[in-house]
Amino acid sequence: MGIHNEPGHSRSKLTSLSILIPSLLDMITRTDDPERSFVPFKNDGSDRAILLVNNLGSVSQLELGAIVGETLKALTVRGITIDRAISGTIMASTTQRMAVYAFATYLCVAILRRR
Amino acid sequence: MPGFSITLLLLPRPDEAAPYDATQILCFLDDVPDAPGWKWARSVPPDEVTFVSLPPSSNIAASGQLDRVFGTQNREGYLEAIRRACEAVSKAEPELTRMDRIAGDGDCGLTLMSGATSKRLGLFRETRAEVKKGILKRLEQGDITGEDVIQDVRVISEAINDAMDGTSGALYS
Repeated sequence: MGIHNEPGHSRSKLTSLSILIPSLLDMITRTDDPERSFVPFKNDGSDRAILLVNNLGSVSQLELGAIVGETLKALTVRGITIDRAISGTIMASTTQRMAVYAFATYLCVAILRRR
Repeated sequence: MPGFSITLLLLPRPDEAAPYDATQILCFLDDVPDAPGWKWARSVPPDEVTFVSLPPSSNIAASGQLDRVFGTQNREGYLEAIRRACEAVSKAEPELTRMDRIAGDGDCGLTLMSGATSKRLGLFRETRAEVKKGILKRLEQGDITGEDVIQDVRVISEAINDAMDGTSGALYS
């Protein structure tokens, strides 16, 4: 994800969602890399999953809606049934690392207290 | 930070040995939390996404692929008509503003006048004032020529976008 300014998996030019999303889903659902594929997707039309689309902080609601829509569309094409779709600014990031940690910790504490 | 992340939680299969089964996990997620950062989500599967594909645009002028140029036969009259329209809008400003004060938020006349003429923006007029060029200014600068009507409409649209605020500015441009 590169939320702390990590270089990330790869860099590419900005492209359309219809190209970007399937390539991201490939990385999540492919099972042919023994060092990375630790989630047992079967990719045979029987997978059921929950989708979370997280806004890293400064994506507009309109754009986030488009991202969710395009992701659901791409998942339908793959035959992955989505039982719940959640989207919003769950874990945000600024360029200051301390702010990121503070926010993440706060969220965890809030959830743990609830449980 | 601009960007997004996608996470998929693969639900256990019915025959899979897992600490919680799919129904329980969904039940946990559907519980109402009191964490203020957590956004409310519908506790049903998402609607099926349908995408409507629009027919290809017939607006060839907007795509810049027009192979003909539409000029005017009476250039002087054409430019004079635009000038007079701008002046008429300016002249009607008090009346339009008066009507909008009754029926709206009272800025309609001023907004239209800014588009027609020009608008000076900036809190400190002497130091940071910025002039937003309206249609009349663009006409004076020679940006509206009458040689290519479609290009002129683009310039007018630009001027309106620059100089008019409010909903009407966005709609007209």
